[in-house]
Amino acid sequence: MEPLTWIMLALMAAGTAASAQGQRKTGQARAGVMQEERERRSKQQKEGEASAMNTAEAFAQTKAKEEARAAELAASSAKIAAPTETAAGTKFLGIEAPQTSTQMVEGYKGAQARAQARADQHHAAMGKLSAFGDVMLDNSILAGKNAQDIGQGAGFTQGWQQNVLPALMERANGAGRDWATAGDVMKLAATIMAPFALGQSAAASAAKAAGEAAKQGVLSTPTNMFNAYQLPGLQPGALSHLSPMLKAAPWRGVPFPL
Amino acid sequence: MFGDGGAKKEAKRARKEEEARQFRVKIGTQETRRKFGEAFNDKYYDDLMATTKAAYTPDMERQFAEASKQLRASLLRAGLGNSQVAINKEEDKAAAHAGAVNEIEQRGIGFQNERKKDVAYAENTVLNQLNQTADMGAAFANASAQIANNTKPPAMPMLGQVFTDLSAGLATQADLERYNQNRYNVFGRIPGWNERNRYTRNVGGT
Repeated sequence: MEPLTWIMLALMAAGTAASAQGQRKTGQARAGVMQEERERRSKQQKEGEASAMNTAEAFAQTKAKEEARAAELAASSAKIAAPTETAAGTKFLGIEAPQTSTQMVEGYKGAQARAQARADQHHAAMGKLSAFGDVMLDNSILAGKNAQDIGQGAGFTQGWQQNVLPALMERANGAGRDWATAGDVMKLAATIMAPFALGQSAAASAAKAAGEAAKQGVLSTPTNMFNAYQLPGLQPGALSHLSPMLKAAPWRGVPFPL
Repeated sequence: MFGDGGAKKEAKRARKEEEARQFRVKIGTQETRRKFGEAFNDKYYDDLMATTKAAYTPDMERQFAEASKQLRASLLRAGLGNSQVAINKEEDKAAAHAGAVNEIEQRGIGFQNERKKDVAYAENTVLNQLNQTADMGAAFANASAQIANNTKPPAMPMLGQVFTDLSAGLATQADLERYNQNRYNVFGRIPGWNERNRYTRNVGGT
Protein backbone atom coordinates (compact mmCIF):
# COMPACT_ATOMS: atom_id res chain seq x y z
CA MET A 1 0.00 0.00 0.00
CA GLU A 2 1.00 3.56 -0.62
CA PRO A 3 2.00 5.87 2.30
CA LEU A 4 -1.07 8.04 1.72
CA THR A 5 -3.28 5.03 2.20
CA TRP A 6 -1.49 4.19 5.41
CA ILE A 7 -1.97 7.73 6.63
CA MET A 8 -5.68 7.63 5.74
CA LEU A 9 -6.16 4.37 7.57
CA ALA A 10 -4.23 5.65 10.56
CA LEU A 11 -6.38 8.77 10.64
CA MET A 12 -9.58 6.70 10.47
CA ALA A 13 -8.40 4.46 13.28
CA ALA A 14 -7.27 7.40 15.38
CA GLY A 15 -10.56 9.19 14.72
CA THR A 16 -12.56 6.17 15.83
CA ALA A 17 -10.41 5.78 18.93
CA ALA A 18 -10.79 9.47 19.74
CA SER A 19 -14.58 9.23 19.42
CA ALA A 20 -14.60 6.24 21.74
CA GLN A 21 -12.42 8.10 24.21
CA GLY A 22 -14.78 11.08 24.02
CA GLN A 23 -17.76 8.87 24.81
CA ARG A 24 -15.86 7.27 27.68
CA LYS A 25 -14.98 10.68 29.10
CA THR A 26 -18.62 11.83 28.87
CA GLY A 27 -19.80 8.62 30.50
CA GLN A 28 -17.28 9.01 33.30
CA ALA A 29 -18.26 12.62 33.92
CA ARG A 30 -21.98 11.77 33.97
CA ALA A 31 -21.32 8.88 36.34
CA GLY A 32 -19.38 11.26 38.61
CA VAL A 33 -22.27 13.71 38.69
CA MET A 34 -24.77 10.95 39.41
CA GLN A 35 -22.55 9.52 42.13
CA GLU A 36 -22.35 12.88 43.86
CA GLU A 37 -26.12 13.24 43.54
CA ARG A 38 -26.65 9.78 44.99
CA GLU A 39 -24.31 10.50 47.89
CA ARG A 40 -26.15 13.74 48.64
CA ARG A 41 -29.52 12.00 48.61
CA SER A 42 -28.17 9.19 50.76
CA LYS A 43 -26.80 11.65 53.30
CA GLN A 44 -30.06 13.58 53.37
CA GLN A 45 -31.99 10.34 53.79
CA LYS A 46 -29.81 9.31 56.74
CA GLU A 47 -30.25 12.70 58.38
CA GLY A 48 -33.99 12.45 57.85
CA GLU A 49 -34.08 9.00 59.38
CA ALA A 50 -32.07 10.22 62.37
CA SER A 51 -34.58 13.05 62.91
CA ALA A 52 -37.51 10.66 62.59
CA MET A 53 -35.88 8.28 65.06
CA ASN A 54 -35.33 11.15 67.46
CA THR A 55 -39.07 11.91 67.33
CA ALA A 56 -39.98 8.25 67.75
CA GLU A 57 -37.68 7.93 70.77
CA ALA A 58 -39.17 11.05 72.35
CA PHE A 59 -42.67 9.60 72.05
CA ALA A 60 -41.50 6.16 73.18
CA GLN A 61 -40.19 7.65 76.43
CA THR A 62 -43.45 9.49 77.10
CA LYS A 63 -44.48 7.25 79.97
CA ALA A 64 -41.23 7.58 81.90
CA LYS A 65 -41.10 11.32 81.30
CA GLU A 66 -44.75 11.67 82.29
CA GLU A 67 -44.14 9.94 85.62
CA ALA A 68 -41.12 12.12 86.33
CA ARG A 69 -43.03 15.28 85.45
CA ALA A 70 -46.05 14.23 87.56
CA ALA A 71 -43.81 13.72 90.58
CA GLU A 72 -42.16 17.08 89.95
CA LEU A 73 -45.50 18.89 89.72
CA ALA A 74 -46.92 17.15 92.79
CA ALA A 75 -43.83 18.05 94.81
CA SER A 76 -43.93 21.63 93.58
CA SER A 77 -47.49 22.23 94.84
CA ALA A 78 -47.14 20.21 97.99
CA LYS A 79 -44.46 22.52 99.33
CA ILE A 80 -47.04 25.16 100.12
CA ALA A 81 -48.99 24.33 103.29
CA ALA A 82 -52.06 26.20 104.44
CA PRO A 83 -51.09 28.92 106.91
CA THR A 84 -52.69 28.76 110.33
CA GLU A 85 -52.11 32.35 111.24
CA THR A 86 -51.81 35.75 109.64
CA ALA A 87 -48.54 37.50 109.06
CA ALA A 88 -49.16 39.37 112.29
CA GLY A 89 -49.40 36.08 114.15
CA THR A 90 -53.17 36.03 114.61
CA LYS A 91 -54.43 32.49 114.44
CA PHE A 92 -57.20 31.83 111.96
CA LEU A 93 -58.90 29.16 114.00
CA GLY A 94 -58.71 27.64 117.40
CA ILE A 95 -58.14 30.83 119.32
CA GLU A 96 -61.59 30.58 120.79
CA ALA A 97 -60.67 27.23 122.34
CA PRO A 98 -59.56 27.53 125.94
CA GLN A 99 -56.01 26.54 126.67
CA THR A 100 -57.29 23.53 128.53
CA SER A 101 -59.34 22.27 125.65
CA THR A 102 -56.95 19.57 124.59
CA GLN A 103 -59.74 17.82 122.76
CA MET A 104 -60.11 20.77 120.39
CA VAL A 105 -56.37 21.17 119.98
CA GLU A 106 -56.01 17.51 119.13
CA GLY A 107 -59.03 17.79 116.87
CA TYR A 108 -57.44 20.61 114.91
CA LYS A 109 -54.21 18.71 114.61
CA GLY A 110 -56.05 15.70 113.25
CA ALA A 111 -58.01 17.93 110.87
CA GLN A 112 -54.85 19.47 109.53
CA ALA A 113 -53.24 16.07 109.07
CA ARG A 114 -56.28 14.86 107.18
CA ALA A 115 -56.30 18.05 105.14
CA GLN A 116 -52.64 17.54 104.29
CA ALA A 117 -53.40 14.00 103.15
CA ARG A 118 -56.24 15.29 100.96
CA ALA A 119 -54.01 18.03 99.60
CA ASP A 120 -51.23 15.57 98.79
CA GLN A 121 -53.68 13.34 97.00
CA HIS A 122 -55.07 16.34 95.12
CA HIS A 123 -51.62 17.53 94.10
CA ALA A 124 -50.58 14.07 92.98
CA ALA A 125 -53.75 13.68 90.90
CA MET A 126 -53.44 17.12 89.34
CA GLY A 127 -49.74 16.58 88.72
CA LYS A 128 -50.50 13.35 86.91
CA LEU A 129 -53.22 15.05 84.91
CA SER A 130 -50.99 17.93 83.86
CA ALA A 131 -47.91 15.82 83.23
CA PHE A 132 -49.35 14.09 80.18
CA GLY A 133 -50.16 17.37 78.47
CA ASP A 134 -46.78 18.83 79.37
CA VAL A 135 -44.82 15.87 78.07
CA MET A 136 -46.91 15.57 74.92
CA LEU A 137 -46.47 19.27 74.23
CA ASP A 138 -42.69 18.93 74.55
CA ASN A 139 -42.80 15.87 72.31
CA SER A 140 -44.88 17.72 69.73
CA ILE A 141 -42.53 20.68 69.70
CA LEU A 142 -39.57 18.34 69.24
CA ALA A 143 -41.44 16.48 66.50
CA GLY A 144 -42.12 19.80 64.80
CA LYS A 145 -38.43 20.70 64.87
CA ASN A 146 -37.45 17.31 63.53
CA ALA A 147 -40.05 17.57 60.78
CA GLN A 148 -38.61 20.95 59.92
CA ASP A 149 -35.12 19.43 59.70
CA ILE A 150 -36.43 16.70 57.42
CA GLY A 151 -38.16 19.30 55.26
CA GLN A 152 -35.02 21.39 55.13
CA GLY A 153 -32.95 18.39 54.00
CA ALA A 154 -35.50 17.63 51.32
CA GLY A 155 -35.37 21.29 50.29
CA PHE A 156 -31.60 21.08 49.97
CA THR A 157 -31.86 18.03 47.74
CA GLN A 158 -34.55 19.69 45.65
CA GLY A 159 -32.51 22.87 45.38
CA TRP A 160 -29.48 20.90 44.24
CA GLN A 161 -31.50 18.98 41.67
CA GLN A 162 -33.11 22.11 40.31
CA ASN A 163 -30.24 24.56 40.44
CA VAL A 164 -27.02 22.59 40.13
CA LEU A 165 -27.66 19.16 38.64
CA PRO A 166 -28.69 20.39 35.15
CA ALA A 167 -25.54 22.53 34.92
CA LEU A 168 -23.37 19.67 36.09
CA MET A 169 -24.96 17.31 33.57
CA GLU A 170 -24.51 19.86 30.82
CA ARG A 171 -20.85 20.08 31.71
CA ALA A 172 -20.55 16.29 31.91
CA ASN A 173 -22.16 15.91 28.52
CA GLY A 174 -19.40 18.10 27.10
CA ALA A 175 -16.60 16.40 29.00
CA GLY A 176 -15.55 14.26 25.99
CA ARG A 177 -16.12 17.02 23.52
CA ASP A 178 -12.39 17.58 22.83
CA TRP A 179 -11.79 13.95 22.06
CA ALA A 180 -14.95 13.69 19.96
CA THR A 181 -14.07 16.78 17.99
CA ALA A 182 -10.56 15.56 17.40
CA GLY A 183 -12.00 12.24 16.26
CA ASP A 184 -14.40 13.98 13.92
CA VAL A 185 -11.59 16.08 12.45
CA MET A 186 -9.44 13.03 11.88
CA LYS A 187 -12.31 11.14 10.29
CA LEU A 188 -13.06 14.10 8.06
CA ALA A 189 -9.44 14.30 7.00
CA ALA A 190 -9.42 10.59 6.29
CA THR A 191 -12.59 10.89 4.23
CA ILE A 192 -11.17 13.75 2.17
CA MET A 193 -7.99 11.84 1.75
CA ALA A 194 -9.68 8.59 0.78
CA PRO A 195 -10.17 9.10 -3.03
CA PHE A 196 -6.60 10.17 -3.49
CA ALA A 197 -5.16 7.51 -1.27
CA LEU A 198 -7.24 4.75 -2.78
CA GLY A 199 -6.75 6.07 -6.36
CA GLN A 200 -3.00 6.25 -5.96
CA SER A 201 -2.99 2.79 -4.62
CA ALA A 202 -5.15 1.50 -7.45
CA ALA A 203 -2.97 3.22 -10.05
CA ALA A 204 0.12 1.76 -8.51
CA SER A 205 -1.47 -1.65 -8.57
CA ALA A 206 -2.52 -1.18 -12.19
CA ALA A 207 0.94 -0.06 -13.21
CA LYS A 208 2.44 -3.00 -11.46
CA ALA A 209 -0.03 -5.37 -13.14
CA ALA A 210 0.55 -3.77 -16.52
CA GLY A 211 4.26 -4.20 -16.11
CA GLU A 212 3.84 -7.80 -15.36
CA ALA A 213 1.38 -8.26 -18.26
CA ALA A 214 3.77 -6.58 -20.64
CA LYS A 215 6.36 -9.07 -19.68
CA GLN A 216 3.89 -11.80 -20.47
CA GLY A 217 2.51 -10.10 -23.71
CA VAL A 218 -0.89 -9.37 -22.25
CA LEU A 219 -2.70 -6.00 -22.23
CA SER A 220 -2.45 -3.83 -19.16
CA THR A 221 -5.20 -3.80 -16.57
CA PRO A 222 -7.64 -1.28 -18.04
CA THR A 223 -7.69 -2.95 -21.45
CA ASN A 224 -7.76 -6.33 -19.82
CA MET A 225 -11.10 -5.34 -18.59
CA PHE A 226 -12.30 -5.02 -22.15
CA ASN A 227 -10.61 -8.25 -23.04
CA ALA A 228 -12.05 -9.99 -20.09
CA TYR A 229 -15.66 -9.04 -20.73
CA GLN A 230 -17.49 -11.55 -22.80
CA LEU A 231 -19.94 -9.28 -24.54
CA PRO A 232 -22.50 -10.86 -26.86
CA GLY A 233 -21.30 -10.84 -30.46
CA LEU A 234 -17.74 -9.92 -29.57
CA GLN A 235 -14.82 -12.23 -29.65
CA PRO A 236 -12.31 -12.12 -26.85
CA GLY A 237 -9.71 -9.46 -27.66
CA ALA A 238 -11.96 -7.64 -30.13
CA LEU A 239 -11.59 -4.35 -28.23
CA SER A 240 -7.87 -4.64 -27.70
CA HIS A 241 -7.26 -1.79 -30.11
CA LEU A 242 -8.57 0.59 -27.45
CA SER A 243 -5.73 -0.22 -25.18
CA PRO A 244 -3.32 2.53 -26.35
CA MET A 245 -6.10 5.12 -26.04
CA LEU A 246 -6.81 4.09 -22.51
CA LYS A 247 -3.19 4.25 -21.60
CA ALA A 248 -2.98 7.81 -22.97
CA ALA A 249 -6.26 8.92 -21.31
CA PRO A 250 -5.99 12.06 -19.10
CA TRP A 251 -8.09 10.42 -16.37
CA ARG A 252 -5.62 7.64 -16.04
CA GLY A 253 -5.17 6.59 -12.52
CA VAL A 254 -8.76 7.25 -11.60
CA PRO A 255 -10.64 4.02 -11.01
CA PHE A 256 -12.40 3.01 -14.18
CA PRO A 257 -16.18 3.29 -14.00
CA LEU A 258 -16.61 -0.26 -15.22
CA MET B 1 -8.97 22.58 23.53
CA PHE B 2 -12.14 23.41 21.60
CA GLY B 3 -14.03 25.04 24.52
CA ASP B 4 -17.26 23.91 26.24
CA GLY B 5 -19.48 26.91 25.61
CA GLY B 6 -19.16 28.04 29.25
CA ALA B 7 -20.70 24.87 30.70
CA LYS B 8 -17.87 24.40 33.17
CA LYS B 9 -18.08 27.97 34.37
CA GLU B 10 -21.86 27.78 34.68
CA ALA B 11 -21.68 24.50 36.60
CA LYS B 12 -19.11 25.98 38.94
CA ARG B 13 -21.24 29.07 39.48
CA ALA B 14 -24.42 27.03 40.08
CA ARG B 15 -22.62 24.79 42.56
CA LYS B 16 -21.11 27.72 44.40
CA GLU B 17 -24.43 29.57 44.63
CA GLU B 18 -26.39 26.56 45.82
CA GLU B 19 -23.76 25.58 48.38
CA ALA B 20 -23.71 29.15 49.65
CA ARG B 21 -27.53 29.18 49.86
CA GLN B 22 -27.61 25.92 51.80
CA PHE B 23 -24.84 27.14 54.08
CA ARG B 24 -26.80 30.31 54.85
CA VAL B 25 -29.95 28.30 55.58
CA LYS B 26 -28.06 25.86 57.82
CA ILE B 27 -26.16 28.46 59.77
CA GLY B 28 -29.24 30.67 59.94
CA THR B 29 -31.28 27.78 61.33
CA GLN B 30 -28.67 27.00 63.98
CA GLU B 31 -28.35 30.63 64.96
CA THR B 32 -32.12 31.19 65.06
CA ARG B 33 -32.62 28.14 67.24
CA ARG B 34 -29.78 29.25 69.48
CA LYS B 35 -31.35 32.70 69.88
CA PHE B 36 -34.77 31.24 70.72
CA GLY B 37 -33.19 28.61 72.98
CA GLU B 38 -31.28 31.22 74.92
CA ALA B 39 -34.28 33.51 75.26
CA PHE B 40 -36.70 30.75 76.23
CA ASN B 41 -34.59 28.39 78.31
CA ASP B 42 -35.59 26.45 81.44
CA LYS B 43 -34.86 29.46 83.61
CA TYR B 44 -37.27 31.58 81.58
CA TYR B 45 -40.10 29.09 82.13
CA ASP B 46 -39.22 28.69 85.83
CA ASP B 47 -39.31 32.47 86.15
CA LEU B 48 -42.67 32.53 84.38
CA MET B 49 -44.02 30.09 86.94
CA ALA B 50 -42.50 32.12 89.78
CA THR B 51 -44.02 35.30 88.33
CA THR B 52 -47.42 33.64 88.11
CA LYS B 53 -47.21 32.50 91.71
CA ALA B 54 -46.00 35.91 92.81
CA ALA B 55 -48.92 37.52 91.00
CA TYR B 56 -51.63 35.26 92.37
CA THR B 57 -50.42 34.02 95.75
CA PRO B 58 -50.79 37.28 97.72
CA ASP B 59 -54.37 37.63 96.48
CA MET B 60 -55.09 34.02 97.33
CA GLU B 61 -53.53 34.32 100.80
CA ARG B 62 -55.49 37.49 101.42
CA GLN B 63 -58.67 35.74 100.43
CA PHE B 64 -57.72 32.80 102.61
CA ALA B 65 -57.13 34.98 105.62
CA GLU B 66 -60.43 36.76 104.99
CA ALA B 67 -62.29 33.47 104.55
CA SER B 68 -60.71 32.14 107.73
CA LYS B 69 -61.92 35.16 109.65
CA GLN B 70 -65.38 34.84 108.14
CA LEU B 71 -65.45 31.17 109.02
CA ARG B 72 -64.39 31.84 112.58
CA ALA B 73 -67.00 34.53 112.92
CA SER B 74 -69.66 32.24 111.48
CA LEU B 75 -68.70 29.45 113.85
CA LEU B 76 -68.74 31.79 116.83
CA ARG B 77 -72.06 33.33 115.80
CA ALA B 78 -73.48 29.86 115.60
CA GLY B 79 -72.00 28.96 118.94
CA LEU B 80 -69.83 26.36 117.30
CA GLY B 81 -66.44 27.63 118.37
CA ASN B 82 -65.61 24.46 120.22
CA SER B 83 -67.28 21.80 118.14
CA GLN B 84 -66.65 18.98 115.75
CA VAL B 85 -68.02 21.21 113.01
CA ALA B 86 -65.20 23.67 113.66
CA ILE B 87 -62.72 20.83 113.42
CA ASN B 88 -64.25 19.58 110.17
CA LYS B 89 -64.26 23.10 108.78
CA GLU B 90 -60.59 23.40 109.61
CA GLU B 91 -59.95 20.34 107.46
CA ASP B 92 -62.06 21.74 104.62
CA LYS B 93 -60.27 25.06 104.86
CA ALA B 94 -56.80 23.55 104.62
CA ALA B 95 -57.92 21.37 101.71
CA ALA B 96 -59.41 24.43 99.99
CA HIS B 97 -56.08 26.19 100.45
CA ALA B 98 -54.32 23.25 98.80
CA GLY B 99 -56.82 23.45 95.94
CA ALA B 100 -56.15 27.18 95.53
CA VAL B 101 -52.41 26.58 95.50
CA ASN B 102 -52.96 23.98 92.85
CA GLU B 103 -55.15 26.31 90.83
CA ILE B 104 -52.31 28.84 90.76
CA GLU B 105 -49.86 26.11 89.80
CA GLN B 106 -52.18 25.02 86.99
CA ARG B 107 -52.43 28.57 85.73
CA GLY B 108 -48.64 28.76 85.74
CA ILE B 109 -48.40 25.52 83.79
CA GLY B 110 -51.00 26.85 81.39
CA PHE B 111 -48.99 30.04 80.83
CA GLN B 112 -45.82 28.02 80.35
CA ASN B 113 -47.42 25.71 77.81
CA GLU B 114 -49.11 28.54 75.98
CA ARG B 115 -45.80 30.37 75.77
CA LYS B 116 -44.01 27.23 74.59
CA LYS B 117 -46.54 26.84 71.79
CA ASP B 118 -46.25 30.51 70.80
CA VAL B 119 -42.47 30.30 70.80
CA ALA B 120 -42.46 27.11 68.71
CA TYR B 121 -44.85 28.74 66.25
CA ALA B 122 -42.73 31.90 66.07
CA GLU B 123 -39.53 29.92 65.57
CA ASN B 124 -41.21 27.85 62.90
CA THR B 125 -42.36 30.98 61.08
CA VAL B 126 -38.86 32.46 61.12
CA LEU B 127 -37.28 29.25 59.87
CA ASN B 128 -39.85 28.83 57.12
CA GLN B 129 -39.03 32.32 55.93
CA LEU B 130 -35.32 31.51 56.09
CA ASN B 131 -35.81 28.30 54.10
CA GLN B 132 -37.60 30.22 51.40
CA THR B 133 -35.30 33.21 51.15
CA ALA B 134 -31.96 32.03 52.63
CA ASP B 135 -31.71 35.58 53.94
CA MET B 136 -30.01 35.28 57.31
CA GLY B 137 -30.22 38.97 58.08
CA ALA B 138 -33.97 39.10 57.62
CA ALA B 139 -34.39 35.88 59.61
CA PHE B 140 -32.38 37.23 62.54
CA ALA B 141 -34.30 40.49 62.53
CA ASN B 142 -37.56 38.58 62.44
CA ALA B 143 -36.34 36.27 65.21
CA SER B 144 -35.45 39.22 67.42
CA ALA B 145 -38.88 40.75 66.87
CA GLN B 146 -40.62 37.47 67.63
CA ILE B 147 -38.53 36.95 70.76
CA ALA B 148 -39.34 40.47 71.94
CA ASN B 149 -43.05 39.84 71.35
CA ASN B 150 -43.01 36.58 73.23
CA THR B 151 -41.03 37.74 76.23
CA LYS B 152 -43.83 40.07 77.23
CA PRO B 153 -45.59 38.77 80.35
CA PRO B 154 -48.84 36.97 79.59
CA ALA B 155 -52.17 38.51 80.51
CA MET B 156 -53.08 37.20 83.95
CA PRO B 157 -56.82 37.35 84.64
CA MET B 158 -57.95 37.87 88.22
CA LEU B 159 -58.07 34.82 90.40
CA GLY B 160 -61.66 35.38 91.42
CA GLN B 161 -63.23 34.30 94.73
CA VAL B 162 -61.77 30.93 95.58
CA PHE B 163 -62.98 30.41 99.19
CA THR B 164 -66.59 31.57 98.87
CA ASP B 165 -68.26 28.34 99.94
CA LEU B 166 -66.07 27.74 102.96
CA SER B 167 -68.55 29.12 105.49
CA ALA B 168 -71.61 29.02 103.27
CA GLY B 169 -74.57 27.33 104.78
CA LEU B 170 -73.05 27.22 108.23
CA ALA B 171 -75.23 29.92 109.76
CA THR B 172 -78.29 28.73 107.90
CA GLN B 173 -77.85 25.19 109.14
CA ALA B 174 -77.35 26.34 112.70
CA ASP B 175 -80.43 28.55 112.54
CA LEU B 176 -82.55 25.76 111.14
CA GLU B 177 -81.43 23.38 113.82
CA ARG B 178 -82.19 25.93 116.50
CA TYR B 179 -85.74 25.98 115.24
CA ASN B 180 -85.94 22.25 115.30
CA GLN B 181 -85.67 21.96 111.56
CA ASN B 182 -83.43 20.00 109.29
CA ARG B 183 -82.00 17.93 112.11
CA TYR B 184 -80.38 14.63 111.50
CA ASN B 185 -82.64 12.03 113.12
CA VAL B 186 -80.51 9.27 114.58
CA PHE B 187 -83.03 7.35 116.65
CA GLY B 188 -86.12 7.74 114.55
CA ARG B 189 -86.10 4.11 113.47
CA ILE B 190 -85.64 2.69 116.96
CA PRO B 191 -88.94 1.45 118.46
CA GLY B 192 -90.03 3.58 121.42
CA TRP B 193 -88.44 6.74 120.11
CA ASN B 194 -90.42 9.25 118.20
CA GLU B 195 -89.39 12.12 116.10
CA ARG B 196 -91.08 14.86 118.03
CA ASN B 197 -89.45 14.55 121.43
CA ARG B 198 -86.63 12.05 121.08
CA TYR B 199 -83.74 13.13 118.97
CA THR B 200 -80.08 13.67 119.37
CA ARG B 201 -78.63 16.99 120.25
CA ASN B 202 -77.46 18.32 116.95
CA VAL B 203 -75.01 21.08 116.46
CA GLY B 204 -76.32 24.32 117.85
CA GLY B 205 -79.35 22.48 119.13
CA THR B 206 -81.17 23.26 122.30
